[in-house]
Amino acid sequence: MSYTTDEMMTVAAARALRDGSACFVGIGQPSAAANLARRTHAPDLVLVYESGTLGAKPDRLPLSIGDGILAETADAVVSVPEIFNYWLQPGRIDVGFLGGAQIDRFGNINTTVIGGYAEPKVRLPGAGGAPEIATSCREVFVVMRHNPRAFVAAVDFVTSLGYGRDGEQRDALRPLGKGPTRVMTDLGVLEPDPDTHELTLTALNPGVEVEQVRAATGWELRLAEEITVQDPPTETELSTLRALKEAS
Amino acid sequence: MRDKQCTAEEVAAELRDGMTLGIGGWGSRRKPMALVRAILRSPVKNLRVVSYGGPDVGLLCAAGKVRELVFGFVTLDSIPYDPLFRKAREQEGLAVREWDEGMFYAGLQAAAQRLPFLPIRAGLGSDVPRNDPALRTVRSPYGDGEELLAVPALELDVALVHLNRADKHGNARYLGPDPYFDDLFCLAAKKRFVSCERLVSTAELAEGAPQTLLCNRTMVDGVVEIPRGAHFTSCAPDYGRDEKFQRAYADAPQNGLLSRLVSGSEQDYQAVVQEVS
Amino acid sequence: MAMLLRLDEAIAELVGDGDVVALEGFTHLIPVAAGHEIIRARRRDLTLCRMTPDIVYDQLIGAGCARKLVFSWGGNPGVGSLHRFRDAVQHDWPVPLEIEEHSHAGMANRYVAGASGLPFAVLRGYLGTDLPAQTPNIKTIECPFTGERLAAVPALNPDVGIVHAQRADRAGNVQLWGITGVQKETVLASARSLVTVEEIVDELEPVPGAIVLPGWAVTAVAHVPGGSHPSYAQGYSERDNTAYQQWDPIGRDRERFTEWLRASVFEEAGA
Repeated sequence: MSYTTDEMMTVAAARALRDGSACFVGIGQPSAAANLARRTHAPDLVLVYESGTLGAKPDRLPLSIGDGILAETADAVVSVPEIFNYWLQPGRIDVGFLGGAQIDRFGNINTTVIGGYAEPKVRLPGAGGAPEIATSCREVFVVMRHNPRAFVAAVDFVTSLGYGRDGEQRDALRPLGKGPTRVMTDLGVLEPDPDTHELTLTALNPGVEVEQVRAATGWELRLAEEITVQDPPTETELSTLRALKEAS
Repeated sequence: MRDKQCTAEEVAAELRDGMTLGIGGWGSRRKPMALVRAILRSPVKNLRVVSYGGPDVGLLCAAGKVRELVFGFVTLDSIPYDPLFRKAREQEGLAVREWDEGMFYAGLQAAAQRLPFLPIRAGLGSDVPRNDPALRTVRSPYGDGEELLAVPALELDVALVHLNRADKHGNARYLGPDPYFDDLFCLAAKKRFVSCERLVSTAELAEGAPQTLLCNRTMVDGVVEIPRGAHFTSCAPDYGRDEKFQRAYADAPQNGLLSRLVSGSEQDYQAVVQEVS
Repeated sequence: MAMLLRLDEAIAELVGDGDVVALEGFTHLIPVAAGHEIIRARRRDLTLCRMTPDIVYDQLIGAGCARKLVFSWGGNPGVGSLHRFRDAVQHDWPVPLEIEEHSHAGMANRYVAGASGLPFAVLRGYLGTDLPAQTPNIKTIECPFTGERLAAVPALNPDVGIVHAQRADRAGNVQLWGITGVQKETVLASARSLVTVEEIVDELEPVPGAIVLPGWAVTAVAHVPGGSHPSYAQGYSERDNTAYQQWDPIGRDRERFTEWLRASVFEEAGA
């Protein structure tokens, strides 16, 4: 079965989710990945949406984080203050899924402005739940399309902390969560170097060359000692993902 | 999904000397009494007990298990004062942190939110801070500069709650009129145990309102099915308070039942139930 | 006891020029009709607060009602940017828009503090972000027990809080259920409040998980069926996803927007 690079990215993100873990989900790629995981290898994945739905079990992809299908299928529906104060802040969520307009070599994410804050070139939506997802979830997975405008040496604005502008700030601030552990793109996977925290290429999507990834990255991309090639989506993964999308 | 069923004895065995134990329910209502009795029979001691207190507190005090009690009140509802608690407080020098309900709630909230404290107005100007010198105040960092009471987090090592229905995974539902603060006790604790009137399948448990599903599987470590597990406190709508038995409990220091209630076996307890009720 | 008013009466009575106004509703139960009434009433210089400004705030901003926006995420959910918002921030059209930006956790806690009558809230938030440098009311506070430094945000106490709910009874007791967001906190934090409802009933039948706001905690209730369209009211309507998509080309263009405003907001008033 042929597939798109976006489908590969979603499938890779789904595979990264462990069965039985709790996942804070945003709309778009993260929601597609989490729902795909729940319908394939991780039936006991707990989906948590910031609208206050805990353990939602939608049978189609929700169209917004407040889609009625989430409340109707949830284990529990709590208020927005409660989802942030009682569920996210104490570290009860294993994985946070983030995306953004920019990510830098130390995994810091920008969803606020391109350009200066006072004179923005592009005004973006803003922080939403991301700053606290980035620090309170046990780990963070990032899903983003790979291009040099998005993968930059330094973000214009740190909306969500990765490892800090110098790669060391996170260690000094000591938040609960580990921070971004996997960045999954339409080209491959980047992971932080264990010592420097610099995002490093660790896996390629099928058919992608290292040079392509380098060209799409706005800093001198380092390579892990061993670079694996990810398995292409299986027929089950693809048909399940497409059925979920079609149902919406 | 994990099967979290266990026994009351296994729950009691999770407690270590000196631990902070939170007990759900409210006064003489939906208290995890069977789990409390399992603790009475276990060797654990020096507990710091955190409770909207009822006979759970009286029994643990009478058994000499309590090093410190953190509470907003202790009552049997239909009997205003619990005589066993009263004896410990008036005659045995029980160490207490006696807060009002608002402060107590803020302390549980802080623990459940993984904050070291929360600010509150309650308690300011009362004698509560004077009698609890470990309390502090905190000043607003804004223009108002107001000084508020800082309530430290009531972090619990273990929480025990009793609910009407649960499944083996730890999802649990209350069917009565009031959730009390059982969910907050579970969120404030490291280990959380639910006793329930009846263990049902997840499908059966799911029939009903999502919001009466007070505890979900992510906040529960163990489930014990104990029919009449809240006796003699109320567990509406499954049963009301056993007022006759509660009267006998309140009279226990005089009627000769005290040792059987405090240090007897489960069979002794059930025998007293037969005799009294 | 809450007053039962017509929507236009309620806005005329409760919302004045220069007020701090919060219209809340987290994807669900967004008080869109009340926002349109504010536009029709030609209110100016408002400080608009909302966690997730979406198309109704794009419309209020494009209509020139707002001087300042306090928010945590602004966008057309699932579609893209808010172009009237961007035009105001980037080009001062139709009037300059000052912004005060938080995270969701920060905004939610600001409402909680406001509703609790406390001057501020404490949270583990904003760590390592550039937000405190732009938003000076994000401060730190030291725990008096552990010395730990935590984030503080000031209470948000709007002059007017507006939410949409499923129903109310004739005494103005309000009932809402499903995703309830920060609606309760918004009403309780605000000096005056307006709830638009799908239905007014003789008696509020209990609904699982419903919040009831007692009539004495609400200033006014207005009967506005469909008042959250294109958002939805669980049990009454479905979200109109097409309308969110259709907003994009309208919002992108000043002329199309102005025409939309005339045809869909001002002329609707006479209809």
